[in-house]
Amino acid sequence: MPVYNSFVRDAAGNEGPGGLAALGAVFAIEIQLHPAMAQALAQQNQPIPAGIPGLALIDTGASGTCVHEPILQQLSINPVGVVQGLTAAGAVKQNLYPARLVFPATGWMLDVPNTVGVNLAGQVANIVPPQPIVALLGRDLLSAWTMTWNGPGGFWTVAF
Amino acid sequence: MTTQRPGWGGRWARQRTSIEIGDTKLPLEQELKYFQANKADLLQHHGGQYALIHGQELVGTFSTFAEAFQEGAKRFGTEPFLVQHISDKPDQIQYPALVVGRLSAGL
Repeated sequence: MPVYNSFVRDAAGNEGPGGLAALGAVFAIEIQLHPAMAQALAQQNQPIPAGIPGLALIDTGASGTCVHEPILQQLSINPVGVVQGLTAAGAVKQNLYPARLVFPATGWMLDVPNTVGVNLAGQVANIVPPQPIVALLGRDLLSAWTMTWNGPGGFWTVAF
Repeated sequence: MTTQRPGWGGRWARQRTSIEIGDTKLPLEQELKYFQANKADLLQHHGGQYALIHGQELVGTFSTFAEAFQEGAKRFGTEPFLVQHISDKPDQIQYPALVVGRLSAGL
């Protein structure tokens, strides 16, 4: 079972509980076309758009995995479903998109047929340099993972 | 209301129009209309399964979203198709941190 550990430093560069508490479980990700869609494009002799990098935040409060919708649209991905999102303003219809999530640090690739397109504009991880959060990894993905949150040690671990 | 989605510029923008429901524009207009028109019958015969719909046609029903998606991708490639859970209530997604604006991470 592949394991990934992340030790989080605080603004002063120290490991410990402060950095992890402030930043959360964040790691680099790249949003790519789902392979089934990439294959369809290849059969049509159309170019396959390059993946778009950013940061993903593990969000145990999110029931499903969410991706910043403009990124999915930039990749010219068609939605394949609709779900009802529960927001402060009430229930809204949101599109479901197929996508491949690549984690460069580990080489992991997850093909998700039903990521939720949401608006993550303005959500950033204030690291140096600041980077946009482009995805929330929800409990649907975590259902296949083992995750450890070591607050006092200032690190988190995932394995799947 | 039928509208062109501005600013997309992808394949979908050239192929389809969309409707606006609530806060979200829905590009799967035909398929969603078909599902709503046939929901009672689908519930009676295929409740709990996932419908694969292309245009105004029910292609089949499947046990999981992933199975329906794979079949849709195999048959229709990059053309629009809908995978819809056949259920009384719409599937819901929760993301409370994003809703209350407590998502941004910082040190």
